[in-house]
Amino acid sequence: MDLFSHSWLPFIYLYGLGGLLFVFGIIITLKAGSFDLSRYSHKKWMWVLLFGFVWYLMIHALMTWAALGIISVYTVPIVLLGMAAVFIAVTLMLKRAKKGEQETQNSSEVFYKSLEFVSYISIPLVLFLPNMSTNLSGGGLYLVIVTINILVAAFFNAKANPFKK
Amino acid sequence: MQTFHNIGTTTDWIVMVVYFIVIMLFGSYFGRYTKNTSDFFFGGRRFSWWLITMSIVATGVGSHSFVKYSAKGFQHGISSSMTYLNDWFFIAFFMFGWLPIIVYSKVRSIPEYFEKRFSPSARFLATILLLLYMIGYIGIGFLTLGKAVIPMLPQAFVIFGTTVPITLMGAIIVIAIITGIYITFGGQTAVIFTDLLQGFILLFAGLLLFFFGITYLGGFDIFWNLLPVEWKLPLADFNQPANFNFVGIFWQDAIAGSIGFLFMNQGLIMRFMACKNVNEGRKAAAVNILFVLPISAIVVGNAGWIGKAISIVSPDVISPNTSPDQIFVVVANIIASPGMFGFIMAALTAALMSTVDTLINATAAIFINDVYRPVQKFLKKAILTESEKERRELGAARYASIGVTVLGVLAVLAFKNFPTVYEAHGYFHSTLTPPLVVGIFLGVFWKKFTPAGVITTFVGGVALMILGARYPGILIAPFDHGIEMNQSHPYSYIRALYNIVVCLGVAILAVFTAPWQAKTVSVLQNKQNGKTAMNILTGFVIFLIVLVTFNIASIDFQIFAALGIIILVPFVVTYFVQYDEEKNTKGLIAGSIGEARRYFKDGEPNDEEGEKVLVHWKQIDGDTAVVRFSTENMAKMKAQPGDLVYLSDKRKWLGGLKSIHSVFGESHDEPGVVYVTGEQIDHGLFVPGRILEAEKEM
Repeated sequence: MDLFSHSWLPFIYLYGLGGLLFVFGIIITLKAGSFDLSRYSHKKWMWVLLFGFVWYLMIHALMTWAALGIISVYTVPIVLLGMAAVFIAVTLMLKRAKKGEQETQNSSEVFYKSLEFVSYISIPLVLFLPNMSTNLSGGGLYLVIVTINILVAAFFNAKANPFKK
Repeated sequence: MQTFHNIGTTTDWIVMVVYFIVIMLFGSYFGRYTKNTSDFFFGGRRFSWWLITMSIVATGVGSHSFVKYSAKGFQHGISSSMTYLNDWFFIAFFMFGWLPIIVYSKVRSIPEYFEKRFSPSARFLATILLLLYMIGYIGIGFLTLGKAVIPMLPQAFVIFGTTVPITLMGAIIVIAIITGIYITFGGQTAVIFTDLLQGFILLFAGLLLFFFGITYLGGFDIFWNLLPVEWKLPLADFNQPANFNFVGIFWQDAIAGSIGFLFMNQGLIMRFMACKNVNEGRKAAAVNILFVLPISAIVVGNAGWIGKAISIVSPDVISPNTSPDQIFVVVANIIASPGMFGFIMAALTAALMSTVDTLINATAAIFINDVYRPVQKFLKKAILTESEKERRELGAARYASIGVTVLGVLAVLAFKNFPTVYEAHGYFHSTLTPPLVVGIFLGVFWKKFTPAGVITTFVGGVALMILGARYPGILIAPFDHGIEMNQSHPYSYIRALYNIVVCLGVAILAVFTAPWQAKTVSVLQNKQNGKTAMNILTGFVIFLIVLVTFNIASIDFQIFAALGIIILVPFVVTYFVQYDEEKNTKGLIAGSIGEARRYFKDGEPNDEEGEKVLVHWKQIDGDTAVVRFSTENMAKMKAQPGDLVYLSDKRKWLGGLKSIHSVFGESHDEPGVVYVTGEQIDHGLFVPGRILEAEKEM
């Protein structure tokens, strides 16, 4: 049975249109100046905003894969808990960096980027790689998501990495 | 459809009664912290993010109730969770647009924002729309409560030999009386603390139910494998069936609902305003949406999923024809033991009551701010002392709570004929939120948005919405994304798209034609009979509004009348309303948050990063508007006299309950000590000997 209209079509609509609105919101508030990346606390919020978007996108993607039988249903909580752990770790680290008033730390920067890499790419890649050859639509979509994440992360690293001067 | 009565045992009823008594005592205890209307409505703007996050759980879970999501979970599976998982898209707008504006501009209600940003007439219309929205929301809450308790009640009871049937409306009226009593004497602090307790209990009860359900079925694998693939998918089918489709719910909930919930739900906004500062409000919103909502999605929907699985494996235990709105109660009764079922039901009904409480409190706040005070001002009542005024307003707030409760019960009549609460709620959101959503959104983010724009949206947009509701097959059908039109409840969800488009279109049109309006109005203002001409024009506009509202004339003529309203209202508004773009947008749009912060502080904000300090307090006689720290502590906090300070009991678990906001006074030479007055100690509920934590706000 073709489940496209019940699975990936609503997913694309949700994160396509919703994603546009989300990015539009960030751009508008940045342009208005109410969201000001020159302030340290706002840089931290940028991390939270981006994580939130990827977090929800992954929730729906994982649940869809699980429902279609591409991955085990038990994979869903494992990946999500992993992402939540990364989020908490990075957020706490950003808080500590503020306390110490040391925004530029080479070691922290490396750690931050490693965690980001892990959260965006490594965990799901390892988990889904065996299924990609057998399910092209799920794998293809996954690659698109990963590519978008890399681009987003690269763009905001340059603009908003709190460890960068 | 199979319906139930008399579910539950005596033990369950005893548990429920005990639960309610405990919750009411808990709320009453914190009611004593209500000293003025600020405390009654906003809890004194003092709480930490975690406390507000948990208190929002009870409000959020209550409003997006167990009943309606279990119903959809039973009918359509895990996709019932999608409305809980689509609130992130507008978070940047909220965190860095609306939230700082409402806090820093010191508005107490959404209509008050409309007056400051646009004009008193915009406030008047916004008040009407918002009261309709809030009272409708209360009506939905009461309807859900009624549907939740009906399965537990007998069909009728005998009193003095007379058989009295138990009806949905009868049950709702009794519930409303209990709810009204509680909120009337509690206030916002009581609601926040009651919700804090209930937030934990709700999550626990919902997850416990899921655990019982999985155990009943024999394990998670069995449960998962019993569900058909369509039931496991997290999003509904794109455009079918008419009563539950993805695209309709996207526009109704992810767009109109999310903006409505974050931007115009006065109850929720008051929670965020009860946070000690804007950043705490952001944290409360982020944690709630990121982590609490996904858990809540499981908590509220799982009874339906479990019910579906049981109906597949044992249709004799749960019939597939069970009334969807009763499935939560039916499942809970089957899988939970006596007593535990009572506990789950108590948690459910208490959560719903908590939502209704919050909404009643919020609606009363709107009444006091946007009806009572302006009327008092208009009547030019004798000047009262501040304390006398406070006492009267608090009294009026309590009477308003009772009045709102009564109107909420009456609002149930508008929704009770929908097949499920979910559809009633969807229809309600799609219909009532778009004009205000567009008004707030463009008001905050578009400097050029004028009173003519917002009032035309409220009048012209609503006129087109009325026509859409009347002729959905003609006007809404082009937006339907292939959704089939249900004749009895046409386009319950996707009408939100039509309504947003027409309101947005009208707003943009009114703004882009502003130069013509100004030109025409200036010509008329220079004519001797200009005012007479505008009065005639206003009368004609009112005639057109009556024509559309009361369905007088054919569809063609009504569409023509609506277009007439859209074209003429901006001229009328531009002529009669005084508006200065610079003055009316200062500190009230996202582009002028800096101005808003200056207004909030009444001076230049000090954003230098300082440290928090721990201090003992010492009572002195003196200026109650300031608190005084040592020079050393001031330097540590990087504070200057005149900066704002937040002073709270050091114990974090109190969540800011014992705290005050004040202003730094001149420094003294006693390190580690803060000088406070008796009034400040009383307001902050500071305990002798307890250490305080101080932090500079700005």
